[in-house]
Amino acid sequence: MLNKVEIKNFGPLQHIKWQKMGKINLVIGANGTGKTFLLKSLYSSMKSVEEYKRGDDQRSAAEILAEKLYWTFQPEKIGDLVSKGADSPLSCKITVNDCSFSYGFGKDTVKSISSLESHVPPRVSNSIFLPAKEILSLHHIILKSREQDKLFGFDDTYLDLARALRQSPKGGKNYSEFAKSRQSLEEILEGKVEFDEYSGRWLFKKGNQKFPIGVTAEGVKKIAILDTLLGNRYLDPDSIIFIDEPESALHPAAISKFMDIIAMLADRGIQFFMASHSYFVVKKLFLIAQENNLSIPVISACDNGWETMDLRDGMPDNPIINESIRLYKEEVELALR
Amino acid sequence: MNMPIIESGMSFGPFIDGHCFYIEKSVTYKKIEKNVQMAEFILLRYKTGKPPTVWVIEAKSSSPHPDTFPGFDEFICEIKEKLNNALVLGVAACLNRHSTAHNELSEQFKTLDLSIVDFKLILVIKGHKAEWLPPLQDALTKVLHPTVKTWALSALSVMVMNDDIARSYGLMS
Repeated sequence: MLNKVEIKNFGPLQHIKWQKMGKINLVIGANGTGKTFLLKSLYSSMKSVEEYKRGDDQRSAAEILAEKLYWTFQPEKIGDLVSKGADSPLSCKITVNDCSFSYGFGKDTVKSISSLESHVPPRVSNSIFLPAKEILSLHHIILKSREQDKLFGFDDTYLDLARALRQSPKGGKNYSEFAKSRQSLEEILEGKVEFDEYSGRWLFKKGNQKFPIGVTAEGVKKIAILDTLLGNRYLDPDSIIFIDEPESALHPAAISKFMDIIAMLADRGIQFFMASHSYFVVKKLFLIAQENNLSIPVISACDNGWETMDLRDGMPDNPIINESIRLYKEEVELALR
Repeated sequence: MNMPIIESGMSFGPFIDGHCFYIEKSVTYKKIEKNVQMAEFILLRYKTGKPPTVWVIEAKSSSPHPDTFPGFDEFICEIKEKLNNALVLGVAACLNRHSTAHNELSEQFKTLDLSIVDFKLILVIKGHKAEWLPPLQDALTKVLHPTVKTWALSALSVMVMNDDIARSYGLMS
């Protein structure tokens, strides 16, 4: 589990210090504040930790990280990730299960990270990043673009996810919370998504009918991704899931159910980081925090940088809530004048 | 049972004797009412296995209306003031800081353990559309943040409801 992070001069993130992370963590803020960037920076570090010494991989941790940063953020050189105008190097320090992993580099760095220190033991679990858009309908295009053509466009969050989905479903007994979550996910889907080995395409199966994934609703495909990763055992209770805009393409009622499923999976051990603009996500997580007396740390981009708080202590004072109030005022004004 | 309380076109109660302190009509408040706005009444609620809860109730016959209220922010500010004052006066009365309170408060209020009691600050608006309630609750929660924090209240202490919801929670018969 990721315990804390401190980042300096990393793209739009001039300084972030998030000291108390929980099983479910929320990142909120206006467009362009660096929410997705923060998730991707955490993801890059975690994947580097996970890929290091896995199987017969001979690469050093610095090589893995440099590659991960290059293909995740896709700059010309990784030194371009250093905040523009920063007078000191980029630095990132995370703590995983109370063991630290830190690195830093300057703006002239091309691909060799000289400063990296890791005390995190090798991990067998997999972390995953779920982008705001679904990828099932682009699955084969992503794999071709990255694995064959080696092109920028789809970053590593997409490639890793496409590869994770490629793993075949496994039979046998799954973790009971995972099985229960899959059941709830499939209730939202009103069906299930399957990979058809014969055609090499994803299909949506509802009752006895099968539909091409292309004509399936965006929200269905998005939910199906998590269902598939739980079914093929890519995820285990020590996994970390990063979700960018969990609300995208989902109906508010589905958002609430999705958050309940996340709470169930978090209770089993999976850690979540979500970046959201949605009132419904924030409100539902607030209620989950209250109902279960659960700490749900929030980091919020504000005028003076980043502020941390906990949904267990109340709703955050932020533009999402303020806009909801403003719209209410506007509606009352229109309705009653 | 007490007589029902008629406020803002709604009939609250009747409540069990000793469980309701009609603070707005109390002698204790009448003595200090100049420039002190007050919520309607304070209600004691008991649930098995939980500490007692004190609901501070403010009632409104309508939501912010350009013709009847100066504006939304002033409306919210007024409600905050009334709920806050009722909370403070209620506790001050329980602490016997007002000489008149002894004769007005029931034994249940006088013997309340104020260190463990939970408080809810509730606005009831007659006929308010259900879909308009959440943003109003968020706005009120925001302005009452200092009260919630200084009194160490729970994060779920501020509620805005319409008469239908109030009825379902036993505030009206």
